[in-house]
Amino acid sequence: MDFKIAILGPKDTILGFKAVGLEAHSALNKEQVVEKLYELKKTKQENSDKPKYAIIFVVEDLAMQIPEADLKKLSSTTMPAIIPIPGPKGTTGFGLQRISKIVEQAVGSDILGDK
Amino acid sequence: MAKLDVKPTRMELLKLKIQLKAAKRGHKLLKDKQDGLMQKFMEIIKEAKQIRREVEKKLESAFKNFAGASASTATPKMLESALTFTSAKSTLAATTKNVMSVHIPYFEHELKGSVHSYGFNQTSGQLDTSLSLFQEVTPKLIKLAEIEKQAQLLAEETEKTRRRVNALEHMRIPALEETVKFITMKLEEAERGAIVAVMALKSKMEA
Repeated sequence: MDFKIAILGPKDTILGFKAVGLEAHSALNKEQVVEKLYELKKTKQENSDKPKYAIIFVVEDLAMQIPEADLKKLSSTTMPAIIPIPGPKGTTGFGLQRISKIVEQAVGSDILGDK
Repeated sequence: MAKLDVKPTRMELLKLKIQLKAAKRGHKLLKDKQDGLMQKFMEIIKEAKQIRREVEKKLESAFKNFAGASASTATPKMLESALTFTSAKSTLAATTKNVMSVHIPYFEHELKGSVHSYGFNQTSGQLDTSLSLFQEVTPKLIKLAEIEKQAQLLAEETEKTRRRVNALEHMRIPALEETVKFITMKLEEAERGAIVAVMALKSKMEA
């Protein structure tokens, strides 16, 4: 089964990923990102019930702005995986913060610590 | 502890005893599940953190290079067309594995063709380097996606399971135990009452 990988972000940022075969969708603000994510999530493969996209990368600046409730709804299923990646401005620590949050959710406290 | 609101009858007692047994077994099973989930979670979360750090560092340099490349390309249009008609094709195979009834994804990524499929006279050498960097980081990104999604799904399930275990351990089972005790006492009391009544009756008849 072949899945697609999508990347969401400002056009000039995601162009580079286009060259390595990822599907680039441009999105500039919060509303566009949320809308696009719902749209991509809904897209199915031809003649099948499986989602077309297995991974959707979202540039960090935009991923930060996605409302908690939407993110929860979007990431409840096995696929697609919505993963924030740092933009050209460098990392904001949002990704690691997200991991800490995951640990906290599972264990009850962030046992890995910040380092 | 809150006792359940039931009538102290033998029927109820029987029902509650069955429920208590089921609750205890459920609790044990869920506890085992929680342990299993936690074990798996711990295995991957450390790796997730490490991979994320690595990817973020690599991506940063890739982006920096790319920004330089796009600045040194004559027009943005040229850059876009150079990148759009790429012969590189990425395919992604995904399988899911069932761990403790959580379906976690495994991705397998394959990149075919070359990313450097554009005319060299319109683009700068920096573009080549930056694309190579992107190409290098992509498998890592996929791995990161895989492992972070796994961690996220496992965390959700662990939280749910923990809540269930706690609800059974601290609410349902004590409540059931107390109610069973209450009904047993009540029934014994009724029995004693009946015996006393019969004894009183008997002594009255003898007198």
